[in-house]
Amino acid sequence: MKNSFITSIILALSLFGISFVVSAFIVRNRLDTQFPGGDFLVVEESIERTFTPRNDFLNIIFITLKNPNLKSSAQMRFNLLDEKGEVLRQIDFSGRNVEDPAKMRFQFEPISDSRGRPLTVRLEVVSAHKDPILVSVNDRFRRDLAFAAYYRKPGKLAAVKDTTSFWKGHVLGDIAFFSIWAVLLGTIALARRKT
Amino acid sequence: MNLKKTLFAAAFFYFLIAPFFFHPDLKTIFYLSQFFKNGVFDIYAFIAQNPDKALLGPFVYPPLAYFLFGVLFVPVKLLAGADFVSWLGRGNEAVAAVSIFRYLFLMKLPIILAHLATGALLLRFLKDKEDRRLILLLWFFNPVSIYVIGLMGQFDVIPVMASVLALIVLGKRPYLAALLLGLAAGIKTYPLLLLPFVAVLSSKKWQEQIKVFAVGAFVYLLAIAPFLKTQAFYQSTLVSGLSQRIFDLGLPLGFGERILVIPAIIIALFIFCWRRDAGKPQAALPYFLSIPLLAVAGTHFHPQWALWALPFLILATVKHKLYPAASLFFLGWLAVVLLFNDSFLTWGLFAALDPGVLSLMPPAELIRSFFDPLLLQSLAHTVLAVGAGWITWSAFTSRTYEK
Repeated sequence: MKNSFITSIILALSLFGISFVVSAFIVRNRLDTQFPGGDFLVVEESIERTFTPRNDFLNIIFITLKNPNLKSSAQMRFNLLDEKGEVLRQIDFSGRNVEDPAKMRFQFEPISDSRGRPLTVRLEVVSAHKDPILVSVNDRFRRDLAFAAYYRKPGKLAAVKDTTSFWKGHVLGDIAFFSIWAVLLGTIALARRKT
Repeated sequence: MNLKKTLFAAAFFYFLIAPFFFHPDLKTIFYLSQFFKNGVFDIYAFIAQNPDKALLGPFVYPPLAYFLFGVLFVPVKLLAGADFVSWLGRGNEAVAAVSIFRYLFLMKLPIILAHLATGALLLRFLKDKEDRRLILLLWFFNPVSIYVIGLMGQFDVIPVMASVLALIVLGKRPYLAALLLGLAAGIKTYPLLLLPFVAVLSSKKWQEQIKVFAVGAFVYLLAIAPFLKTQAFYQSTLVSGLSQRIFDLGLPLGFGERILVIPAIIIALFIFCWRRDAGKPQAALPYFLSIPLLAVAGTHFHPQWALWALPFLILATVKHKLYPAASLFFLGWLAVVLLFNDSFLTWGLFAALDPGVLSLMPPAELIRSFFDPLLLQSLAHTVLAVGAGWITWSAFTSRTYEK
């Protein structure tokens, strides 16, 4: 490690390289839509939210649940409904399998024509328990179900394009920060050279 | 090689990677610290009384951490922009924000500055030019520092910096050393374990030892006193993390009783220190190394705990050319961490660059079909423990450390 500056560049590039490889070749699903959580609510009968996926091949919905003290053994059901209210995908699960908190993964056969179709994610109680399950919602007043929806990536080339486009979008989306950040790095590099 | 060049290279590296890697702990502490500017003094009672604000969990650190980040929150928020607060209030997976790179950089900035300052402080311990260069290279470019500070953004480096400073001043100003440890314990509790040793090392006279101990203990008690009546304070800080895990490793005696290994080693080390090194501050380094290293070698640790002993481990490694032992330690540590069944400690670190990584199962789950991940993690932990033990043994048996 005679030249620490070159070492630092190599290490940084290695980290970015790992990230790129993971993103382009290992990650099989991409984030389609995310409704972040801000609170937790008891699921009494059912809770749902309708959204319009931006991509085809929707295949995973993540919902964060809580099972206080791991006591609940309520029988629950995850439903994905189409615009007519018909069930497209359904997964039953037990409160016994819910930790506190738990990021529940509902993975199903990809919906090949999901793009642009209003779909409803619904969580319902099939058989209640005295210790209920709580579900993540955006806030306790609006009570909209919080979840993240992923779609299956189409292919390696498209994935690489997606990844580079995502990074480019973020840089251009906060150009002020990246400009200052680049100036900072340049200043440090210059100061090092002059030392 | 000019030492300043190495410091600049380190600054370049950490500022380069800081914006791009994410861990929710950093977001959580800034989320909770924001209430300080709204006049909330007792964060523990506040969260207990307002469970709707506990979306990301309670505040689990001692109170000085809250005040420190409460003060830092103001300039960070100013530079981060209007959406920063609402982003903080979202769940741990809210990584799709447009300005997330800016947020991550700003939140990590004070931590990186502390890391750079600690590197500069470490130069005080050695005089040989080549040793000083190696100290800096190892401190900045080892897996623990890169992972904990550059990727995760954990703030343990702040009490670590105070502990390094305490070691520097121990010889001439033991009361200041104790005060620094008391303050550091108000941010993260582990420096309290070093306080009895600092007291004994400072003087041969027991009266002086008690005074030194009392200074450090008083500062810590002053920090926590306003919260001692708050039940939530005990639940959040005193009965979590290290304070529980050091009691996990035990030798069963039957009827539910155990010999607690980590406390036993600490007590033995204390007696050893008292018998052999009382009044010898120049012999402090092996204790500063071994006590926090026990938290890593002997418990199911959090990754950032390895930072506590790291500066002293690196000093020992460079002085005694213990590179094979250090390699065992770092490789073992890395393997243990990557085998935690927690997405945010593995793929999740890349979530800001690609939210899709959050759909991946942790590596531990991926290898479960082929090999028991817990057994593999245990093997890695054993390797880490051997490396740690080797370095500690060398530090105690050489006894050539002089500041």
